[in-house]
Amino acid sequence: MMKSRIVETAASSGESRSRMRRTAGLAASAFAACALASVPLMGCQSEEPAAPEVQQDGQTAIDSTKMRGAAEGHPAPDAVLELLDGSTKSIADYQGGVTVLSFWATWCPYCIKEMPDLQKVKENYPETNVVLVNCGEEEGLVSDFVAQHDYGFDWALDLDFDAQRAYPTSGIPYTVVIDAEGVVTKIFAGSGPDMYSKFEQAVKEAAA
Amino acid sequence: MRRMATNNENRSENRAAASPSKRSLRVPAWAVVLAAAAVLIAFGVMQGDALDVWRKASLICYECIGIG
Amino acid sequence: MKNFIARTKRRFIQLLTALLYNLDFQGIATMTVNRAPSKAACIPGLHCYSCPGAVGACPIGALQQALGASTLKLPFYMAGCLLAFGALFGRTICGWACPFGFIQDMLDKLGRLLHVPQVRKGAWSRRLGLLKYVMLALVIVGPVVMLAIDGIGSPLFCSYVCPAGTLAGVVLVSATPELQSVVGMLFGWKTFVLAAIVFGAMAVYRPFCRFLCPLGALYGFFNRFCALRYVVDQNACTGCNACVQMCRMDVKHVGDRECIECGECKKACAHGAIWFSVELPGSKRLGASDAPAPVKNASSDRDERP
Repeated sequence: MMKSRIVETAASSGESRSRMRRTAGLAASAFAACALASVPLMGCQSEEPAAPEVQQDGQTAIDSTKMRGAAEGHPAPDAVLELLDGSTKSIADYQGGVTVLSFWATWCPYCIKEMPDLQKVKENYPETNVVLVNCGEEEGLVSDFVAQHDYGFDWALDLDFDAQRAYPTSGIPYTVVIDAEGVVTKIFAGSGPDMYSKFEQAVKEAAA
Repeated sequence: MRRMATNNENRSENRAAASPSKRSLRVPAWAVVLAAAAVLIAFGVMQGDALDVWRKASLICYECIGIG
Repeated sequence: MKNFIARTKRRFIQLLTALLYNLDFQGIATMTVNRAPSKAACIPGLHCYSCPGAVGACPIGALQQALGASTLKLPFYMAGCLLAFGALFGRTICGWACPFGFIQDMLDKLGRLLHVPQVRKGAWSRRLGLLKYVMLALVIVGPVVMLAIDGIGSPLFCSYVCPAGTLAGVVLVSATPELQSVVGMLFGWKTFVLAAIVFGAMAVYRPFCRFLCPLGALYGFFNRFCALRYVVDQNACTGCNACVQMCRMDVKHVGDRECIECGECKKACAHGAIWFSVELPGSKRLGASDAPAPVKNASSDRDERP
């Protein structure tokens, strides 16, 4: 009788060990599942929502999963821009002429590389407003850059991404072409060789 | 699997314990590097590096990741 | 059964970390890159922040941006992060916590399933493995050189090589029409590199990790002394080299710079000489001394002293 009890104990301890392992595995999976489930909450708490459901005045309803802020064919979102010379101007103030709004930064090679193309647009179509909104950099850095290069653009600052909130984008360069009535006609995300012909075509279409 | 400590080994261990040297302290190399890393991270955060990382990670430069 | 649990444990952790790096469900839903505060932190594995789901910054990407910044600050934060990850984990990250490594592991399985002819390691792969140190040099020197040349510190590795970024980039481009009208040669080149690595991974084990990854190259330097790694008990080791032969990476010894700490070698050891040691301060590793003792090898690796 003693022997059978010992055998029983040995078998049950082996069993309990594998049971413990299984429970541990289940607990780990449950914990992981809870962690994953709590993530949508984390996403909701992020400061800058990617798809703002806030509607601008006069805008038609935007499908927040596909269009973000600026959408071709829709009115351009308004935002207040802090210009380099200290004055403020809102994007709505540029209405009346074609506006090319481009978001850039000094550490973005494509943004720098497409500036000569934008300059050519400004020179060939002088009535076009070419506004370059710097993203997230201090005034000193931007004004140093502006001083080093000779471009005829309107330079704006956006240290805390305030203007960006109206024009959310995954990345830069992000160029929005707005016609005289304030409707977005073309959006360029990213850049490539020979952006000038693309810019020129967009500006011509917007002017038409 | 461990060998039984011999008398000689015991004696040398005692000597090491009596006069504390780096050998008996046994701070592993990874802990030293980790401590240095913590100092660097703290310094970097104070310098604003983490903010820079955040700025460039949340508004990506398309060319920098090969889209273009 | 024990082997199955040991193997699936690693797969489970690989999958879990791949998911943990991509917890931005809102970003995934809208296919946009978001501004979550967690992006100030670096993740240990190679996962590009171009992925809409990414919650942290890629250490290699962040390092290059820091080095190429016109403000000319020394990248203390980035260096600290990399040192911390290396000191704690070394290349255990490669084997357990890198999404792109996980993808290559899965591609390897797929390749064997599809009966793709497998190319085994050899002297050629050991020599090619030096290329990743060239990549590491490119990561560090590239942005600085570019900054000196034209004032913009382009991150050359990220722009022209990294397939992890392209994988996320393909997703981003296909979901963003404004990008599609603009992408050109650069994106075409990167897609080609990604395709080459993806197809290569079906015939060669982890080609990116072995030949191109700068992060793995960097972490490899910590492999000999990091906290979490596999160690060989020199008293139990007989020098039969079964571990090295079984290993699919180009190791010369267990736990050297090429080792991704996956633990497959542990199963090959008939003498139970390989242990995953979690080293606590003051504890003595089982029988091992501080300097790696030469393993009695029958093969011609006698000259190698890591």
